[in-house]
Amino acid sequence: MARRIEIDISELNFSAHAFLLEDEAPKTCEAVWQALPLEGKVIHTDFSGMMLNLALKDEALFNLPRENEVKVVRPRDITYWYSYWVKPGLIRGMDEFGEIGFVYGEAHPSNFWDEEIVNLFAIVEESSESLMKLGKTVRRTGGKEMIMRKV
Amino acid sequence: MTKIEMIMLREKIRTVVTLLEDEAPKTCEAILNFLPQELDFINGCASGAEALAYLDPPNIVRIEEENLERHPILGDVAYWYAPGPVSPKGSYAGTSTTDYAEFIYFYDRKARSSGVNLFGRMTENLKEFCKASHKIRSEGPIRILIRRLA
Repeated sequence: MARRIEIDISELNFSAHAFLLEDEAPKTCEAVWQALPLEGKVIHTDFSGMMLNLALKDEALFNLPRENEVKVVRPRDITYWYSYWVKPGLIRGMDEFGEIGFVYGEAHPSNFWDEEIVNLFAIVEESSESLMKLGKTVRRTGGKEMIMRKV
Repeated sequence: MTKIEMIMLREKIRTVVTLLEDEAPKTCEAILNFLPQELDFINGCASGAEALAYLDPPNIVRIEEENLERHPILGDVAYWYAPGPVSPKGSYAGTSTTDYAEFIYFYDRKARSSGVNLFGRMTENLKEFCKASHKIRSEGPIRILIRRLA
């Protein structure tokens, strides 16, 4: 049975489980699993559409190769992206960082220049409707503290 | 030249916008008729450094495309109208269920647009105003008072 993680945003009384795609993305799943619990502020993307991002910086950063790459994402997908895949050096004033993405509606992982390819490594079990509500709330009200932990 | 001011109420940061009345006369007239307004600006979700406030009925003004801009730069101020109905599955995060519109400004060069009516440019205190706008995605909406300057 696939390992599962919990996504918890207590300020919004939101909690959901997701199952890891360990056959398709074993390295990404293992790295995420070892990094748990992960805490940080999840914010809304500004280029990718209906998607939230949790930044992985400094000690929280883990850099991974591309694996189970997708360009087309769907609601409930959880993805990983690493800035050096695009180019080493500064992006948005930051050097070397990663992002975990949570798709809640129509989204196209992108930056200012182009569309991005991301590692698809987990699927949220919660309904798309509750994710849509979460995503729009974060967009309207700003970033929220999130904890990802093992189930 | 007609000017409007935009004041971030909590941050107490102000900019002045000079209207482009020759290039976008209908949009400028509509905007002036609808002021003063206090609006909450959130970030665009696919346009980069774009701050927008959804206008809900009765403040929506149907304006045809005018002085269309697809490559905005920081300090550009624009209006966008979309006929309804609003799709519940779309990225719209306002309260209208019919048509809707957005009052928009761009706060960085890293922005793109599908085409908006460019009707004004910030001509005072642009840098401070735009810098403060970078925090919207993380910290939440900025309430801005927009009014005509005498």
